[in-house]
Amino acid sequence: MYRTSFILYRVRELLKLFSLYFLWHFVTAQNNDFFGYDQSEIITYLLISTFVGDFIYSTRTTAIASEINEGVLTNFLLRPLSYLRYYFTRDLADKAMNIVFALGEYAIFFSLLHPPFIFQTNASLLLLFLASVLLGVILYFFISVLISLIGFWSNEGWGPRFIFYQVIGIVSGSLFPLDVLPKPVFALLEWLPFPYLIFFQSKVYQGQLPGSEIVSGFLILVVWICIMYVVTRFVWKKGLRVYTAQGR
Amino acid sequence: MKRFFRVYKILFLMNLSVLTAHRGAFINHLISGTVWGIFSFIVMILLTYNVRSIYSWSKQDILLLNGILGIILGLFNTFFQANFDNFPNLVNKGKLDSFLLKPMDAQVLLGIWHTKVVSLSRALIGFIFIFYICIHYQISISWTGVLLSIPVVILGIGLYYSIWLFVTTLTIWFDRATNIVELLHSLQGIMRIPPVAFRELNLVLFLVVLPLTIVAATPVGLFLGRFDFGGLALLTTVSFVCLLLSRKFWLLALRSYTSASS
Repeated sequence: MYRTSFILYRVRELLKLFSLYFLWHFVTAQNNDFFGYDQSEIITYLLISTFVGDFIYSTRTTAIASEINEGVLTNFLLRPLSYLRYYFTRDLADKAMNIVFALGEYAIFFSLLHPPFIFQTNASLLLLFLASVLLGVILYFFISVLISLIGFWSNEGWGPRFIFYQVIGIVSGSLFPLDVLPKPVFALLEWLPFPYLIFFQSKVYQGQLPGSEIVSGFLILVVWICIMYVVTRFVWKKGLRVYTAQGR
Repeated sequence: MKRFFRVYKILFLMNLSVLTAHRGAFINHLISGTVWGIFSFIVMILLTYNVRSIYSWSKQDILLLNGILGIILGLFNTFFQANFDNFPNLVNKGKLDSFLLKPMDAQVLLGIWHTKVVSLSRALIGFIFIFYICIHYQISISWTGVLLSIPVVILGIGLYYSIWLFVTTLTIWFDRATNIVELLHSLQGIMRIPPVAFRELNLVLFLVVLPLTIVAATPVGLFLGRFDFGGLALLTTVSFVCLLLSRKFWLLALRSYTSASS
């Protein structure tokens, strides 16, 4: 990878963090109550959700649709390896690299702006937070692969993916805590997989969930992982039946 | 000038025919842009739900700022964004030569080569949002204010254009940095906030951020009939200075440009 390009990518991530922080700092500057969250709680939520989002959403699976459309998939089908497992391993390696640099970016951000961040000191909550993030990684992997498998049936993969990103930005809790939404809406969202990508993880970190909700949250997360795994496998097999490639 | 309009008309019709030839892509772009626009306004409404005023900006002012920003970004995306997004690739692959050899100013030609008509949907959503805010909050506006804010919006677009030109011109020296344009995309969040919110920053950072923050913030006052001559003078001065400096910077960069064939 070109070094300048890579450095610019990291600078961009840092600038996104600055933009987001300034927006929320502005909103909560003279009004220390955002639907029951004070400034330090909402800034903590924001920073944790952004960090978790950077980790969970960074994926190479966006390339699957173009590999299907361009016939590159054939090269992988001929090899003695599972295509989806290959991508999962590749994702994990990519995330491991991203997390190292993300920690550096956050260190710069904290040293420059000293945001009112609440550091979690409860070891069990931190362990639960890490476990929830890892499960979120697996869940998002299957969701992202599912979107990319549209490539078997359509050349226009980026449009649905872009709309998906917009929708998931709201319903996963990336932009604001989901419990500020009207109760019926929040209750419905709790049964979908999206809040268990960002919102659940951030609330676990902040220690704002009672034990029963943490347990039920983990259960729902695991169930959705199983459902998405089954659906992804099914769509993958269906897709392979219609897949054709020429000249390879 | 006549030649410019003739060339622009040809390019515009070409872009329109390419857009309508790929209907799937057209519908994708339209839906994506519309969804993006609507969601960005929904997020701002949610963020300011509990807010009455911040740093002397009322909730209505903040929402109008975002509406005007939507119009500015929609118009900028329509006429210039695709060209700036494509510029690093032109430099990296040596395709800039074909623009430099044409009998027309390269900066102008590069600026008008692509027109993304479908992005007008974002500007339209901005208009609808402003209309909704005025009705919902019973904001009375005058035609004088609306008409005066139009040239100020154009100045804001000019300032934004010059910032983009500064940044993308850097790819002439750093031709591998094809993702440099994403830096400015990531700063669009700052443009949603009035400049007064950044006064706590140190002077250097404030001066870096200031041009972006006044792009949409200045027209808000005029739109509401509040004539802030200081703000208007600042935007006018910064716009013209940045446009001039970006032009000089572009010409300086061209002296360093080495084409792919040399």
